[in-house]
Amino acid sequence: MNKKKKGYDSPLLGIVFTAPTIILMIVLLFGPMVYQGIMSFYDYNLTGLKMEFTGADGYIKLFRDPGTIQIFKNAVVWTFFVTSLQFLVGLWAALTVNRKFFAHSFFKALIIVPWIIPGTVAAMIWRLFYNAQLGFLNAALQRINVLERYVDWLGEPQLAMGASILVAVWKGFGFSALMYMAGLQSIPQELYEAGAVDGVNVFQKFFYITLPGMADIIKTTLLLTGIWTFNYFEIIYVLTGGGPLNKTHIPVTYIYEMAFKNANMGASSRLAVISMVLVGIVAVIYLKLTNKER
Amino acid sequence: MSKKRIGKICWLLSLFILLFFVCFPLVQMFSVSFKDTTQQFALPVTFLPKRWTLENFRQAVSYEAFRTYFKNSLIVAVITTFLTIIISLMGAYGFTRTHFPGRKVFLMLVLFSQMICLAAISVPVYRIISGLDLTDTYTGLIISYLAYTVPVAIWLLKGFIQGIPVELEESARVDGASKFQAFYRVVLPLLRPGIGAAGAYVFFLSWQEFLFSLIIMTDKSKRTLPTGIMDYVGQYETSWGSMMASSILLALPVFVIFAAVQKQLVAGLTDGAVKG
Repeated sequence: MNKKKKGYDSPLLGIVFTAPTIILMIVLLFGPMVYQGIMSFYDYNLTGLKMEFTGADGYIKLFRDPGTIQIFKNAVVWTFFVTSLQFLVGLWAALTVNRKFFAHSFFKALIIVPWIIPGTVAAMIWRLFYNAQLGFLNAALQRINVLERYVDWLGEPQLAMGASILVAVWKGFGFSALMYMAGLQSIPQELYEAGAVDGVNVFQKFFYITLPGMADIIKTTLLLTGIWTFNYFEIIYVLTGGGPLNKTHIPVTYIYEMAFKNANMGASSRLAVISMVLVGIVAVIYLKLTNKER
Repeated sequence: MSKKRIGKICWLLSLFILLFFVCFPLVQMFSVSFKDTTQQFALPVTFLPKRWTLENFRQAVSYEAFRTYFKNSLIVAVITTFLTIIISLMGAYGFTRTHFPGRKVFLMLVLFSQMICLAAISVPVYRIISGLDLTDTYTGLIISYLAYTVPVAIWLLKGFIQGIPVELEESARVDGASKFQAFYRVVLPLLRPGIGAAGAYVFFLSWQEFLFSLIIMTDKSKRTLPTGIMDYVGQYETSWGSMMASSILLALPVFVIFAAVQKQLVAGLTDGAVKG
């Protein structure tokens, strides 16, 4: 057999080995995306038995609905603040624990604990933590005399989004911290030594050596956390369910509610399509911009 | 000298604030789970239990539904992990070690699938699963998980496979080993850390998955833990003690697994993130 001579470039083997993966992806990821694209021009019910063609009307109606505009405004606030705060807190955490000190590996493990906790559990912990009467947050703030009365952090329309963002930052910054810890370790120590010889201060060290040295890992981490944040379902669902007054509803929770609670499948499909297109466009622009800088 | 001191104080302060942010909500979880019912609802709130009790844990463990959820979660997560590893090992090997038409496109799709919004495709996935008559079954839920765990695992494993020199396999082949034997005897043992990392990550993902479990497992006896613990949320009152005790038990398995493979997992994740 001449198989041996050809070594590793057997196309048949490649196709056979990757077939299960490709089939799975097509049937359960990309097929459904196409399905949503087509079904977004219809109004239909969950079983798909009743279908009514709506064409572009459905989209027009959706864009005219102030509710939809609110959801996407929320999405921008949610994604922007969670992602950038995860970046800042993650970087801060990585810089803080990235040195040798007493029990440093214990502390390193401790700061990624929230990231390992299941999302539902994290959300439930914070529901208790924010609880108007039983929550430690109110109790602590009152004890140091910052608050005079109990605050229902998740119940006040003005506070709920901020409170939810804090939970998502707490839950997710550990991933960024892990990435940046690895990034810090990949910067050659000689650069800092050379910097020390030249007498650079802490800030110069950070902006001229540390940040550029981690540029690539920061770019990728920001993209990943940004997309994950936009797509993050259970924090909002468990914390507030989208309330109060839809102030914390984001596209993913709204898509779910439309489809499985309100049986408004068409609107759900349209929202799904808009979300996917939006994420796609932002991701492409982001990649273009960050690659140009090099 | 004094400058160094200021630096040290700043650093200690920074570490303290960070740990406070991480731990304060966790303290409440632990505190409540060790309080008896009267203490849980006693005002003003005390940060630590006055009398420590294991009652909540006892209740959680003896709660029939909780045991069912735990069993369901375990079955789904273990089988998902096992199947994912097999499929993604083949996939990752195929993508890195062979060339076939369309390889690059499909590899792009693997990376791209990281970014797909699962909520956005939840309806069609639900319809596929219900079309196959697989709602409320482990099989249905596992199938819905595979579509996103396999690409993640490939993404992680790819870097590990690339780290193994092709020459090792080639020399085994020269010694008369078949392609499969070369893979099984040479590559697989070297991949063990990578498989450990990918397996842990997939277990971690499927153990805490919420949305598909919510949609596909509508029957109460088939629910997994993340959706199941919502049982404790009552219409008027939430039994926080039992809920937090159950939450701790729910989080425990992933902690154990993470502790075991932390190093390899971090290597795999950062490797994947840097190389894209």
